Amino acid sequence: MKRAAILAFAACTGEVDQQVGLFEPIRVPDGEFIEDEIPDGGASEVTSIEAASGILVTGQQQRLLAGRTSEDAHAIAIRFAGLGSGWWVRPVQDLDPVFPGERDFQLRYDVGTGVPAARHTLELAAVDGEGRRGPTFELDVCVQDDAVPDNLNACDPTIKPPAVVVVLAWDRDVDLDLVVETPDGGRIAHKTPSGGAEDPEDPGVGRLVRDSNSGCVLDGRNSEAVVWQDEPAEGTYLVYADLFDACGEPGALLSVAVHRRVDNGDGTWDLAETARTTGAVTDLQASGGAGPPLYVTSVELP
Amino acid sequence: MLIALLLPLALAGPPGVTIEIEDEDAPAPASRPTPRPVTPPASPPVTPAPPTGEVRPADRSPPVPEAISDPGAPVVAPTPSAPVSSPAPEPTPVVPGSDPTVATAAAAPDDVRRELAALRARVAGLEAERAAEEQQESGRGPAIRVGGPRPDLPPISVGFGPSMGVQSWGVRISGYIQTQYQHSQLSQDQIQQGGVTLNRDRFTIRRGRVRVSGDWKHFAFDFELDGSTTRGPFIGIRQASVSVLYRNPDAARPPYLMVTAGLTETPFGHEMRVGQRDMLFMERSLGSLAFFPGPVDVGLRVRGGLGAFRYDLAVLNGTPLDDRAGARASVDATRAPDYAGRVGFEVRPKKVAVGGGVSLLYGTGFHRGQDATKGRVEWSDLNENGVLDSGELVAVPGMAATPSLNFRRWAVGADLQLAIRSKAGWSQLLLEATMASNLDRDLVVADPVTTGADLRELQAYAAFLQELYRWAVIGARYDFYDPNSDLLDRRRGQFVPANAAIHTISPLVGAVLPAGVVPGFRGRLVVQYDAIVDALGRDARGVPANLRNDQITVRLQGEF
Repeated sequence: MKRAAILAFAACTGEVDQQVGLFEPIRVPDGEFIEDEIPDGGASEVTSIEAASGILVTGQQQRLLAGRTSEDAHAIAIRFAGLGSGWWVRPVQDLDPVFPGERDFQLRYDVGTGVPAARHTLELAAVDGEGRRGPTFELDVCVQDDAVPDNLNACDPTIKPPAVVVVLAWDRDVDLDLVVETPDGGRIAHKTPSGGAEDPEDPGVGRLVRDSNSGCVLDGRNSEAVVWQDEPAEGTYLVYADLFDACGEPGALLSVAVHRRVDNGDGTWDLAETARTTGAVTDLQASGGAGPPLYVTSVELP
Repeated sequence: MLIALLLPLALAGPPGVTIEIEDEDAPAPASRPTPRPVTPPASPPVTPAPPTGEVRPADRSPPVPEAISDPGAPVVAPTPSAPVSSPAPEPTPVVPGSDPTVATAAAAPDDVRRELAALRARVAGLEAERAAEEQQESGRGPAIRVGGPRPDLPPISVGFGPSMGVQSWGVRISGYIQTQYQHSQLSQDQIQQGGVTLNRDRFTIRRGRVRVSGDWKHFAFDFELDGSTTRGPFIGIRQASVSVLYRNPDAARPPYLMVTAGLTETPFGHEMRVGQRDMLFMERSLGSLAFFPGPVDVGLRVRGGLGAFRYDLAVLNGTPLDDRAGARASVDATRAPDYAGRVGFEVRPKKVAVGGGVSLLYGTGFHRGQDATKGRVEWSDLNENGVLDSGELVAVPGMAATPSLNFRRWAVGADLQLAIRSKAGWSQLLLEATMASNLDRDLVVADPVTTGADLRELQAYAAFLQELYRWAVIGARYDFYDPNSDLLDRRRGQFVPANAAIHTISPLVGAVLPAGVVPGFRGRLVVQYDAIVDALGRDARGVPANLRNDQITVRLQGEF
């Protein structure tokens, strides 16, 4: 009897969990995360969606999504189809003066860093006063991972990805630089992003695409990449990691991955990882670019 | 007869002794003084009383102090300066081991009476002189009751620190350690933006206090340090004050006047004045924590009691020192001090103690202005493609500094305590309520400059505590706090009144190691569950809902 009373009391309180939702593929910073499935069967519906672009980047912040719902809606719910563990909800706003019988909504969302680069579907639903969601409104989007530039090949396999991509990634907030020595003695690094090539626009020339955490100004990426759009010159390429500044950290674990373009023979292409090497640097190796970099691996290209 | 038998022994005893008089009604010296050797220049004449059992009128002397009736007790050594009411008899050497009955038989009755009267007068004079010397030399006041256990103060007698019920003058060292394990439903293995850890499930040293305090008849001081790991390893100051007192003759009662300067408790309500060593609940009620992030502030405090009347007034900086380790630095930013005070009563008819009072606070809050900023360029990714396009660079001009502004804050509170002592121990019922404006300094920080309107806050709690035969305690507290009684929430484009109230129900149960079982040490193990009902979450409709944020705390406290 007592137990039943306690359970009844707990049920009546209608408690909700506080969810940060950092593991979720989508986050609405000023919304609420409902970990469970929202019961369907509601009559409220989403009537229109306005989005600036269908291309999302992993880790991208403050993407705006606006639209309208039917008048009886209380909240708008959003999630990635097939990803994550629940819905994000946010209350709808006033009645739209231009579209009678409809309410406006507006939400800003972040894209999680764990979303795989591929085509995805955003699902939106209007929630009525009884907490039931109406019909799902689907919005196709493309998510790309800017740590591994692929020319949007993940979303459209018919797009040709770069021929070679060498990616350096690390775990702590340090200023670590990727350095690649080419067979002709060139040095691709943050000071010479094209390795001193005579024609930097040549697609066969490798280019450094980012100087992450430069000067300890953190950008949240902790990765750098050298990209060859076309097959590079034949030879051995030496890959180094240069700890420019430890930024107060004791060191960092790092990995170097090599991605190569694969022709599927059916008009589609892939960018596949062909090698990976891991290592570590300590703060004692921070030299401000004056010391010798840490040798990590070598790559035979093409 | 007894006097006659013992006086010779007393007067012939070893020098360097004194008399200890225990009197329940009359004030007594602070402690049993150390015997001090006194060498008599000459022994008075000794004539033992007649050995007969006949009682004459002259023999009906006043009651003899027990110490004198003890053959083994110290005796008084006469001195030439001892006042006497009759001419001093001619000195006669005392012969150790001589039979007093022989001399008695030879003495005339008139001589005996005369000598006995002279001796009594001499003894009385010596006692008075000795008491005066002790008081003068040691500074002990006859107003302090000593020589027994600490006065049995009811648990509702708070607010006067260790100076109340003091048993002896001098410096004392005391302390306690609170180590605990806490589990919260809010815990997550994540960090918030800015690096704040969301996990709350952990062992901590909530408080580790060492206190040095001193008490003299008219002066006292307190100095307390705290070491804890609540927000990381931390050591800070928690009490530092000097007091001037005019004490009540009964040490179980508060001083008539106690003027304290330094870091001391804010005199508001009952809970704020309860020492954290004695508080059985894990923390103060939520509203109290919001109003006063810490119980202590720097300033001047005047308090005391006269009969059942109690008063406690203070002028303080108005920025309480957060007693949670690692709290942000708090330096008062306003010139105007805060005024706080409580007037109340405390009566103790037999086994019941009743107390209560009303409290007031009036102070000045501070809205912090902003520094001047430099101009900068901001990228606004209008088309959200992650690439810098034309028209996406925006100039953000620098801003001039904005001034800081003050605002008024106040609070009115009332509290009532009822304690009943039974065979099981003390039963306590505690009630307190506070209405305030712009006083929240920790939870929903009040700033009417920003909101454009004063924030009204309401706080109340009711608590019950029951001791169980010295070895256990049970209790519960219902705590209510509304940080904004005028809150509005926007739903579907319309503003609707919203309820920001937070209700906390906190049952507790504990085992106690009472004082006296282990000399100099006592402790307790208390488990408290906090069931919190609020509107801090949102349900699927976006409507405020009860957030799952209950917590349980197990705390072990050891005191010395």
